[in-house]
Amino acid sequence: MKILVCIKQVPDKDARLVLDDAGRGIVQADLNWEVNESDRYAVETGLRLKQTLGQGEVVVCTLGPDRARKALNTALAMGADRGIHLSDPDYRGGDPMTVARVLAAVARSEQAELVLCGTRSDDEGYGQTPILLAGLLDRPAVFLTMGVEVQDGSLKVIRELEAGRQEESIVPLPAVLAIQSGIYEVRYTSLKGIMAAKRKKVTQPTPTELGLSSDQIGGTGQRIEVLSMAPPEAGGHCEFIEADKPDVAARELVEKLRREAKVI
Amino acid sequence: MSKKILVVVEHEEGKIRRGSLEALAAARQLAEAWGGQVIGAVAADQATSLAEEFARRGADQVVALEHPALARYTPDGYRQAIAGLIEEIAPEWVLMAHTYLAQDMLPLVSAASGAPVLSDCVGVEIDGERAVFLRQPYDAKFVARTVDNGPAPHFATLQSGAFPADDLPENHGGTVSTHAVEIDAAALRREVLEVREVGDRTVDLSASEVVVAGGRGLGSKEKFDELVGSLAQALGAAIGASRPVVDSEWLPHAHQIGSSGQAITPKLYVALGISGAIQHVVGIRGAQCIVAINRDKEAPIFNEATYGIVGDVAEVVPALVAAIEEARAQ
Repeated sequence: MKILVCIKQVPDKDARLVLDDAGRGIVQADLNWEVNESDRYAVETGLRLKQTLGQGEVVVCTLGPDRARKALNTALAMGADRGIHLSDPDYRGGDPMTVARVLAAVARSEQAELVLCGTRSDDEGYGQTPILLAGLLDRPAVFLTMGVEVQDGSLKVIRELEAGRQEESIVPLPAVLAIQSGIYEVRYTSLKGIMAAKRKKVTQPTPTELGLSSDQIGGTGQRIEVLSMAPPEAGGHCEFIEADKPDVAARELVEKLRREAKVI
Repeated sequence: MSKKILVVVEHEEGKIRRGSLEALAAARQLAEAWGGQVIGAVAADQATSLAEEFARRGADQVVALEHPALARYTPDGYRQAIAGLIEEIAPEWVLMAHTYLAQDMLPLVSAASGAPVLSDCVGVEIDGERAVFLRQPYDAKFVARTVDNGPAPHFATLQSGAFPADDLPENHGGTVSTHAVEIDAAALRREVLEVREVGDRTVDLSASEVVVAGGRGLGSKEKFDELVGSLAQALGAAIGASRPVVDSEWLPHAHQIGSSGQAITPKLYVALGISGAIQHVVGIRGAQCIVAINRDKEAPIFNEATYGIVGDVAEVVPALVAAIEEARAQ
């Protein structure tokens, strides 16, 4: 089975983010970048499926500038077989729909039977690219996948529901799954894996090669526009207890919890 | 022609989910600004009584979309029913609560017309003929004013609690019509085998008066056990955790607080090293008093907190335990 895993490179979770001068995005220079959390679980899921089936290919794909190559390298070092780097400037910018169009073109040209994505990126957090992609490909999809196995040529999928419940279902292939964080333990990259990754093939298809016209993708094709971005208004009512020493702060807090809030 | 705002209603065990009433509240805001009309859609095998309720609560018109295959949720069933209605009524906006169901299904509907979804919105501004929705990218470190520049229909999902449903009418008097929809049964590709409760339900945090929870910021299972454990003991509190802690197996899922875990309503909730991702925050909004201790002053948890201490949990917690014991001894 050919499995396409779509990943995104996002700023490190603990990164200090600064608004850019236009106030519509963040300053990207000097940030540390990592593979988006749920996408790492998607890579892991792809590798485990291939392992269980004993055959197949795991192709990992990312859309982003040169730096995003590092995200591909991480997935290749984990064990993915080859990479696709959508680095053409025409791909950039855009919104979840333009990204889904590009990924749909890749899925078609690769004839991938199964497409795996994370559920939600930790940066813009639209949380819909995999389902848009399924809509464009006219394939069934499951959001928040917490378990998957191949059974008689179909997928048996566990979907997370709210309040600690799960739905178990059968989904025919070809399909798209959005993988939830925590589905499996994600493997570490070994030195051997990192060395092997250097020899793996990474291609950079252009929009033309994928049959995409530039008005459908990237900044030209996008519908969503961020007019402005700002830190949240200090939400407000949090009373910060500011004391130099922890014991002073602790005493003050306990006093407030007893006398003001009357909760202890 | 007056603008139509369509609200897709989510229901469970014969009840309208609270989030759908909040979506109705948001839709009323848009409709009132534009002199428009709020239309509800309820998909079920028998949808009329829910449709009537939604019409009483503020929808001007509610369509009961009925078919035996809609007795339980499937993405393809809902997609077909709702896509058909959208084509028929041509709404300006389609709104839903930002729930797991909406995320599983709504982009399938929107993709058909090339539209993305303005997802997980926390507010809206009316700017003439357009609606500017507020989103919280980068784990709520920012608020982004966001528009969809494409043609109608536009799609948005709304974060739980962002549009309070408290002021909805009780007897609005909207009309109800029942549509027998056509569903292509062969196109229902997801065959649901069962819906089940998972994990142990042995830990019920919903009844606890005091809950102490820890997050990824505690660094390790050992630190979690030591710091959360000692403070919980001093306060006589139950122990909770954010999702990353459970994913790292520091604590079983039964302790998880948030959208995929438990919702709690204690008198006092203490969050140690929890950044405050929205998935966690929706589970603690019922707490009377929230204390957050985190070394990052920008952490979104402080937006929810009553009291905050910016500092290293490893230093603050032992001091807090000592201060509690000191106060008790007095």
